[in-house]
Amino acid sequence: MPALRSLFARLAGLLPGRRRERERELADELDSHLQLHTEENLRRGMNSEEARRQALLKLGGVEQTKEICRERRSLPLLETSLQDLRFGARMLRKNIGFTTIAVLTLALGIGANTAIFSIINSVLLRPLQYPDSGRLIRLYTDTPVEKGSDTTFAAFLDWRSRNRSFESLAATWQNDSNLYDTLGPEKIRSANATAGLFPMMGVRPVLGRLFRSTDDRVGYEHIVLLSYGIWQRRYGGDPAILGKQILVDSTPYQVAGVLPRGFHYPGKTDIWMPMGLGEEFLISFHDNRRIHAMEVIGRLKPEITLAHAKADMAVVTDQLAQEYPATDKDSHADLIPLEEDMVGASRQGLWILMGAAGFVMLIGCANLASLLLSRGAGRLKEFAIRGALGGNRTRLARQLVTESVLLAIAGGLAGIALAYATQASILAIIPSDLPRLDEIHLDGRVLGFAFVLSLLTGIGFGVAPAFQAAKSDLQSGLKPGGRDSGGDSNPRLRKLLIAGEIACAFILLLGASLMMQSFLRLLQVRPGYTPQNVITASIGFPDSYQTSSQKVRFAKQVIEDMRGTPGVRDVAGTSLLPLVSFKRQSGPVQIDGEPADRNHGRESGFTVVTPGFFRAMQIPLVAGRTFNETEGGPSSGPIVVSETAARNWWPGQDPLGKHVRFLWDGPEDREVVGIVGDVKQASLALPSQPEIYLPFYNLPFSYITFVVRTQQDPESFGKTLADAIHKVDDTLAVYDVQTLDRLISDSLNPNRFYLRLFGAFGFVAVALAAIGVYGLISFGVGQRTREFGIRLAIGALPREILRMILGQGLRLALAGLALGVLGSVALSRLIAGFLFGVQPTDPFTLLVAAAIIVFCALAACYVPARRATRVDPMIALRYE
Amino acid sequence: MTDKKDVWQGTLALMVLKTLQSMGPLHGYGIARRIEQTSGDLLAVNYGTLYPALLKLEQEGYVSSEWGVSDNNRKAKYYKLTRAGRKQLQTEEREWEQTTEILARFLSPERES
Repeated sequence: MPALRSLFARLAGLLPGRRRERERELADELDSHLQLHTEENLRRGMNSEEARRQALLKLGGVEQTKEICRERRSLPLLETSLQDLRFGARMLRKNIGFTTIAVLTLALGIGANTAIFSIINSVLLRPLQYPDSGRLIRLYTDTPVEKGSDTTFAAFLDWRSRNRSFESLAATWQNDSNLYDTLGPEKIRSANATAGLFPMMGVRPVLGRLFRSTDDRVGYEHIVLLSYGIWQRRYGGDPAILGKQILVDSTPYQVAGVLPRGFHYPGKTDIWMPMGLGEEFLISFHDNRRIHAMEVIGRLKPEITLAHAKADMAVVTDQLAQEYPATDKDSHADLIPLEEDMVGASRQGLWILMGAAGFVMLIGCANLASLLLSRGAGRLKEFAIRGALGGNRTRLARQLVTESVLLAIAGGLAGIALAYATQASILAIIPSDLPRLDEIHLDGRVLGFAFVLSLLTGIGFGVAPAFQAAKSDLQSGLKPGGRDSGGDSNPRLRKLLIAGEIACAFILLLGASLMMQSFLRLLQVRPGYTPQNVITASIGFPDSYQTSSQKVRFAKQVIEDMRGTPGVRDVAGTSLLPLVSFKRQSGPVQIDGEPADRNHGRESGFTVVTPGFFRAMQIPLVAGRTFNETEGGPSSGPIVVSETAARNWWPGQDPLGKHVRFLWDGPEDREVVGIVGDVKQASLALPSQPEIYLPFYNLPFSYITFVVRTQQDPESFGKTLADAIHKVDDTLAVYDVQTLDRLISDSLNPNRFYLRLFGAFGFVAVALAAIGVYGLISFGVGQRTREFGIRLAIGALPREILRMILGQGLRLALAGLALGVLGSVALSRLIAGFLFGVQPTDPFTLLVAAAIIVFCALAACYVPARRATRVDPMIALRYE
Repeated sequence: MTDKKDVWQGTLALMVLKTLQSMGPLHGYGIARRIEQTSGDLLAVNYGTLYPALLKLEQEGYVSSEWGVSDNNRKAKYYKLTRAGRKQLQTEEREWEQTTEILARFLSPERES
């Protein structure tokens, strides 16, 4: 109770209104005390001077007593903090130049970190949106020829019935589809899914119903589920869509339900159809243990660990291998947590970016610490005076920490603003294969991260100068000219800080230069065809194209129409363009003369092309011939192989006339009639793999991309091509109308993303380091003005002083570079995976980066060095 | 000035309260002098430390203060005990006696038993 009462009394003491009155009262009281005491002393026979002196001594100092009373009167911690804040803000306002640099430095560091952290937070740290998502597992099939392959439908059914570890297993199968209704055609990503998928993912329809398990079988109902996005965008969120008919690949489906916002599993699916597939297809799928097309996902039972489930699935696949040796021998299930499966590939890259941003932060912090140290040194006199007037040391130190925390908070706010401002442009260049893109935003956790980061910076980097101030010597601080002796009490610490930030800047710059080099080299990679002046457009055949001849007729018609268009040089069709990854086909092949054992199967990619494809793409024919318009049957036609295939499979022999058998297909042999140049199919960065070309007119796939080589300006033929396609069939959705140049350029988007961010970080890092060097040197020059004046007065040449100061900068830069080279060697392993055609320790790049650093350091020294040479000896000597 | 003990924290408040009880309303200087005299000049009170102690007691409501005039016509701030202060003094006196009694037994155990 008395404690509470006293707390209230002290809180009231905080109020400014009565402060002056209380202050006067205290002064009066002490005054009366002294008078009483003095009088008594006089009565004892002291002279008046001695009487007063003794009274003062006995009291222990009027100001000191007042100060203790003040602390007791209110809550000193709170009050002085408020005071510190007010004073700090005033100081910062007064030194606007210093404040601007410090806040800007911090803003860059915190902004960079917040921006990258917001990506990491959404992509890597936040759990997937599905309930209890930790128990969702993706299951792949590892076959002897391919790791991480999709699973056959037959194997999926066996897995589902035999495993003991999963609550449920579901299979999905993604496709591009033509959606057609009164609004016309649109290409959408569709997926067939078993009914168990939705309950497993914890999804309830916002409208209508989900699939029933009967929908997994032959003779299913023709119903679809819509994504929330497409329901809103295409149907205006109208609930009346339920029960309406839409055409998906020309088959009528009834809309049965709408799924909640944000649900697009698998991938970016917008429309789900039951796994019933088509009767014909499903029946062949049911028994086919060779077509690996199903993406399998499962939810672990509670209490079952991943290791348990793996052991359990190993038992299941061993059983299947014994029962179906021809197809399932040596096949295993590979289990990967869904989250890991989605984001695992992006993890390293993002953490490297985070590391780079962290380096920017470190550099900014070093700058800030250095700035604060030198400012602290410049304020020694202020502290000495305050100390002499009764200010205690911890108060002074706390004042300094408060100032730097204030700075840090201002920097943090500016940084968050910067992160907000740059977010849109970062999102614009983020590669679209990064998962969970739509979830990226600045949430509470990101803001908390930025806040904690700035607070830690403020406290962490306010401590050094505060410590310096607290132990500074009052006497020397008060002496005139004391700035020479007391000046920079810690030059070595500051030099170390600056060398450290040069090292960080060098590492970032080196990283950026290496990525630049890789990028330039990637641009020089020959794709194996001539991408200039080619426009392409794709379509998928709906179910109305039941027979091969219908597809062939359609393709021939479009090609013929386009060929007649003025300005068009060549037209052809292909199942898939190079560098497109969705639906890329590959599989095991067996070449004649080798045993039929699956384990010796070789892997090859497949592309189905029309006869004019190689000419239109300008892929060189190395030997033999290409296809003609009318040859072979659907299963025993001729093939053309790539140079790599020819070299790998028939080293030292003539591949023409040799035979290849497709293990996924049938026992028929196909004869090699031609060899063409290699094409970069998967990526410009990867070596070409064996590729087999099949004639489209014998074996049309269910999708085709038209390739049109024009005389000039291919862009303008996009519309012509789309029109030509619609002239033949206006129910088809034409998609991916783009030039080959564009396609190649887009394939480098991930590289571009890392290059740009690294480049930005590298640039900021070097700029900050230069500011740091400038700050250090110019502070040093300011302190030594008198010394330079004397030197000049006794005959030193300006040139010599210039050289001396530049030499200092150079030594600093070289020390930093030595550290930086060590650091970059240590970190080289991390970045190696992001480079192409250049080693992380490439000496040339190293030299260039080092040269840039040295140049910037010297440039930063030059301005203060010039100032030093212009010191007027007279003024310098007269100073003070 | 040689052998005087510093007044240790906490006991000062008790001394102040006791002084006010026995002397009635008194100003700061008077309290300080009285404490010194009562202790037989064995205690050296740094007079400055008295004022925060008085402030604390006032905040806790054990003493109240008002300006008055001293014997020799000086303006001075007089402190007097409140009712809460009187009660507090009783409690503290009791506690203090207990403490000293216990300590006394420890320090001269041979007198026991």
